[in-house]
Amino acid sequence: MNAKERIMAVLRREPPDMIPFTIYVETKYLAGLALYQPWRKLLDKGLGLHAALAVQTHKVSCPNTKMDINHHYGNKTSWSPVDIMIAFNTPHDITGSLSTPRGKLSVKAKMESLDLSANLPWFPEDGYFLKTLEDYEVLKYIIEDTEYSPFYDEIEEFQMFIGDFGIVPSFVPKSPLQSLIMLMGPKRLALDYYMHQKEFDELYKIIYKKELEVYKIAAESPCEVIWGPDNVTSLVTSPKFFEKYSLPFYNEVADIFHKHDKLYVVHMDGELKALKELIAKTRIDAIESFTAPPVGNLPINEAKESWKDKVIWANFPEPVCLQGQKAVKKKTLEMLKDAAPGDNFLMGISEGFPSFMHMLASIPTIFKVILKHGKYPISIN
Amino acid sequence: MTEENSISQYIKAVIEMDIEMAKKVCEDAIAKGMHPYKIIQEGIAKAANIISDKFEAEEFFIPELIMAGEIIKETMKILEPQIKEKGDKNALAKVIIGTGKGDLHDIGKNVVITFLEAEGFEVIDLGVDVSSERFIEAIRAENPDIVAISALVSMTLPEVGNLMKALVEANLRKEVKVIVGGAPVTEEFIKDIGADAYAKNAMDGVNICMRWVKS
Repeated sequence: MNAKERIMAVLRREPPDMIPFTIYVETKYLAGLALYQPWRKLLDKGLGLHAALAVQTHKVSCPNTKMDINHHYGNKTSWSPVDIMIAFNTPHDITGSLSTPRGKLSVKAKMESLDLSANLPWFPEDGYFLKTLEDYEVLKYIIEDTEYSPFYDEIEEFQMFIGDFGIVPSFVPKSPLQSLIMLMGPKRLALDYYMHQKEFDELYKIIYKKELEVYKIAAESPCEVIWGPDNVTSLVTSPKFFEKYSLPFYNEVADIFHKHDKLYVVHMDGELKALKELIAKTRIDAIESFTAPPVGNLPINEAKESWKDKVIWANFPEPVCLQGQKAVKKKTLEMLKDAAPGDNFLMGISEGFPSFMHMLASIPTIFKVILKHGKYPISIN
Repeated sequence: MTEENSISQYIKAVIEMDIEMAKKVCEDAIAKGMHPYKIIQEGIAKAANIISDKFEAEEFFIPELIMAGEIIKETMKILEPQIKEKGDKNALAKVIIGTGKGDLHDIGKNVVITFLEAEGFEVIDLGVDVSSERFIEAIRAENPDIVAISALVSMTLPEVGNLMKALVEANLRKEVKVIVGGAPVTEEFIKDIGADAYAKNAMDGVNICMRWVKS
């Protein structure tokens, strides 16, 4: 099997020849992977690529909203993701404003580097568009003003670049609750849920309805996999929130995807122990970036027991690399052992390492262990 | 309503996340002459303990901690003028807190601050993205008992290790207890860098600080 066939086999709940191990294409530039000899060798041996954040299957416009979003870094200003990638490890600021006939929303945030976990919803309070109760009306206007249209060209182009080394899913917006967290931050989410529930629920319903449109576009796209970048953790998305808001949405869109023979993969990289029964009730196909202890709090074997019909795409808990390569090797073996015999199981790197050098050292170590011990079915004593 | 009833009503309001009820009960109790320390010690502290237990038991999560923190903050605003009238309360201990260099995530840190203050600690908040140098300067200036560091992203962990080295170099290591919390932090990491404790969550951190001042 090549890496693509191996990943797709597991996502379809079929047996692979060995446990797939993937890295995000965004982890380092695609060209870099091909040019850098040690990485090229890993690719040839079966290291898989997951182009999670590369391609969206829709275009978006807000005809009556003036958007002005900039990333400032050094003496440059741009909102192009490519420029930001070039500015890797360079501190930069993000400022943005959305002007509508109903008012204006703004953000101001600082990023120290392109750490994907820092990218998501933990900015200081100025880093969120929704800051006051008055902002709800402006935000509702922007969401209703949003128009989505299909855009399927990039999927085929990107799959051509990646070839048999991996998969290119359609990257959909975060589900409505996670979008709300991005728009208002965890603090305002808590305060408004408890103090302004009417406004909170009205905004939620508008986002839900609008997101169904874009998820339906993804369902009709040529891609085989849909990837939702949800960053679920029970710390913020508590069982109460998950049951009321996330579960109905996940199931409605999962049914839409399944009707179109798509696989629905959701990025859930946080603490999931308190959510395990609720996640079991979803019709999501794969829990991606599942992070076992010591970073997450749900062991792989317990997750497998709870989610018998789901695929677990486990992230390697990156802080382990601070203890050296022996610890990385030991943790990889432990993960394989927990997942044995390995049905419905993939491994990957989907979070940030403490440094690029830690990543360069650890990925080959993890992959070597998988090559040696990760043949399906896994049998490690 | 007796003072005991008011305290029970207040605790119930906090547990039910009813900020308006909590404020009303507190204002009524003050108007009837209840001592503000009684509300702090028997109302706020007990409510904070229950919130902590429910968080440990995974009945409550961050949204409830944030909301309870907000209720306690608003209650303290009502009580502060009364406390000033009746003289200052001695703090249990002084804590300097900040997120490590490179880390801009302040929700966890802010929850810790609210609950430390509710328990009677004096807290100096250095904010986010705090360098070792700033921690050292602040320790020299404020002479705290505890230094609390929050690290939510992995890339901050080496910076926390650097701070521990800086404390040793500045001859300050023995002057303070050091507690570190955040998603990527592990017991092994704490052992490796020579910190005193790992807080697995905000309430755990507050409980460890309480144990230190009581011992």
